[in-house]
Amino acid sequence: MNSKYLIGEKLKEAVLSVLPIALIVFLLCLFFVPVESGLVLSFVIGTVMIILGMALFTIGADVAMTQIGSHVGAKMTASRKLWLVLGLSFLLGVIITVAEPDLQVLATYVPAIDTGALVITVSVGVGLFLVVSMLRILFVIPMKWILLFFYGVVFVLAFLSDRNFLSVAFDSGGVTTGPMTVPFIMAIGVGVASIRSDGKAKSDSFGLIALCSIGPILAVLFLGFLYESNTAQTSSILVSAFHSSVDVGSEYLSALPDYLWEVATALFPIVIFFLVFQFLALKLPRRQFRVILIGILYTYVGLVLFLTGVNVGFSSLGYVLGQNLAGGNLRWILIPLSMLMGWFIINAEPAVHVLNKQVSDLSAGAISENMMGRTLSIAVSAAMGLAMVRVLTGMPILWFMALGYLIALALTFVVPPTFTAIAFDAGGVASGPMTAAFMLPFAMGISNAIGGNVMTDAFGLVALVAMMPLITVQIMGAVSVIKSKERIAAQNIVSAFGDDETIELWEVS
Amino acid sequence: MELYYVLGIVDRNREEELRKICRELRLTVVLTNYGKGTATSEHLLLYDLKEMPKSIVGTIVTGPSMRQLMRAAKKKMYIDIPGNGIMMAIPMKSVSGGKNLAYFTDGQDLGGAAPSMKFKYELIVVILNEGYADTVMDAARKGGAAGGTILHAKGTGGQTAEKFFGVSLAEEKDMIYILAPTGKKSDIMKTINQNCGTDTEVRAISFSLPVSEVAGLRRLEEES
Repeated sequence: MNSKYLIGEKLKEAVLSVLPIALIVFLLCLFFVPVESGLVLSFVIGTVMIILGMALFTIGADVAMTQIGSHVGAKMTASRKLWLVLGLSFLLGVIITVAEPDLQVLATYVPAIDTGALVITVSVGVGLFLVVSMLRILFVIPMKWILLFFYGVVFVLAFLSDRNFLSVAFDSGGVTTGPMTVPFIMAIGVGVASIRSDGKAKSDSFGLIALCSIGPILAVLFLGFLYESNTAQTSSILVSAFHSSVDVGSEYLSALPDYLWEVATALFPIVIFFLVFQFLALKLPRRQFRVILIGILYTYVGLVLFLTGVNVGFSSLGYVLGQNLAGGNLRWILIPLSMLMGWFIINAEPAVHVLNKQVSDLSAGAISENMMGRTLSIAVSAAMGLAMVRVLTGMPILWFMALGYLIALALTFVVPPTFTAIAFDAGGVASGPMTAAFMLPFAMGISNAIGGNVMTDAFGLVALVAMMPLITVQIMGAVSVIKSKERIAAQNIVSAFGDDETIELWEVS
Repeated sequence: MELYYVLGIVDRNREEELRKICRELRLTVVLTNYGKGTATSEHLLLYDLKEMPKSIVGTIVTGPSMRQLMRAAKKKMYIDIPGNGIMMAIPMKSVSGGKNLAYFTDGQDLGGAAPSMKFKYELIVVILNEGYADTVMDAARKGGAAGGTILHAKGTGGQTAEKFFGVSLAEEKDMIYILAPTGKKSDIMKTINQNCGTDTEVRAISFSLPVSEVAGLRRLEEES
């Protein structure tokens, strides 16, 4: 029940999150879809690495990333200097997004735009929108108006822009908010809230992720105007061929140094920032400082294992699996199958646990981690179903997006603001590395096999995953409000004492 | 009339069990706070980083209900076994408003007159600057404390809250609850004051509340 060591607890959590989806895929490969055994072996190794990586990463995120974020948030608000708050927000938004491993994954799939340009543009987009979120909090502007305004801008641009860029633009919005950015940005919000004494502090601590996912969409749409779109260049995934078990091992060994380096460069700016901040302003007690440093180490090892596992073990198999499944004559089965995968894959996203915990903490248990988890499962399951419909029929992404966001934004007028903020955060959180590195290649494989346009049909899957939670979480919020209203039924209490009397209990017998 | 403010501190994953017991006793006021347990040694803190999330469930009960609640918690949650949690009853002296009193005690067995003024245990409450909970716990352990629970709090002191644009700012504070036998209390409070007093950066102040009944401190009882 209660493991003595934290690592044991987190491992158990990781196993429970990853195993269901891994089992489904494994059984599919074993009995229904012929796939090269090397790929399956590689997938099994990947699963083990993902489990280990996720356990270490969640510990690291807990004790290092969230701590740094909330200290920074608290300290900069306490400084009461507007330029410092805005400047730091922008800087942090940029360096944390450059560090985001998901973004790197997405950037490599997109052939039409230069990888470096994409990463920088998106990072600046996030930085600017972190500034917008801070301004929103400081000047007490309701979340829904901000969302309405910026999504309005997004859709106007979307109608004007090139269809080929549209799916990618929406996807990058979901993808940027991954395992690095989510704990950090959410923690900044919590930090700001922690030193506030006004009533809105709680609901304001959410919503940062939501705004930060708009930045990338706008950034990529702008890039789309600048770059000549090149439809001849369709994105593709290199599927490794394994001749023996040794090939699988060497594939992992050759990939590992890349990720060791990639994650190191990604974490570097944050670590430097933290050190400077610690010595100049924060001055944490030594012990707390040491714990954070150890936490960063956990984060590093965890992310390296996780990303290597996902990218080597999962993405090739996802692609091949999609291709082979689409080849059969039972295409319709792809829809329920994807929905099933969606239901379970959301639990394997590391950032989701951070969100669920944050939500449960800030609501003091009123919204439990389980409740949040189930709501997200429903959302992602529905999103995967819709994504498959799109892959199979080639319906334009804009229809789905416009309708979905219309519903989501309409709900903001019905639902309490806290839930709106949580819902839009959840949207950014739900679409993480698992979606980008497994479900997206899966959809690309299918699209390729049935001869669809990968750029427009397969992409957009992440965007749908990011959109559905906006609807389901807000509905959960509405339901919980109705329920709590039922509970507080007016009571007619008759008392022997007057109503403005202070009753000395010990004198009453 | 006896009325108690009962605090139950349990692991976060057992909070629901405790709340269920409260529901079964038809307690009308049940408030939950989140806190964390204190790591027992530096070793544990560094290599395992265990934070031990805790739930602090507070409820207002009459004397008979308090004893029922303690019994139920012992029977169903084995709360008197060390490590399973802790529960304490702090006597309340007055309540404002007749309707409120009736609401608190709705459906409960009233009873008894004033609570006994002999307190075997006391609850030490420490208020300190955020982040120094470990320093305070180290000091408290020197004075004989077995453990404590840390809560995050905001300080909104004497002067009115400062405004920064549309946001009002508060100081960040931590609070620590330490339950101790009355005999040990002053040692613990003394060591806290000596090591983390208001002249240090911790700026800890501590005071104690009377505790009428306790469950879950068996180890301490044996020691004393």
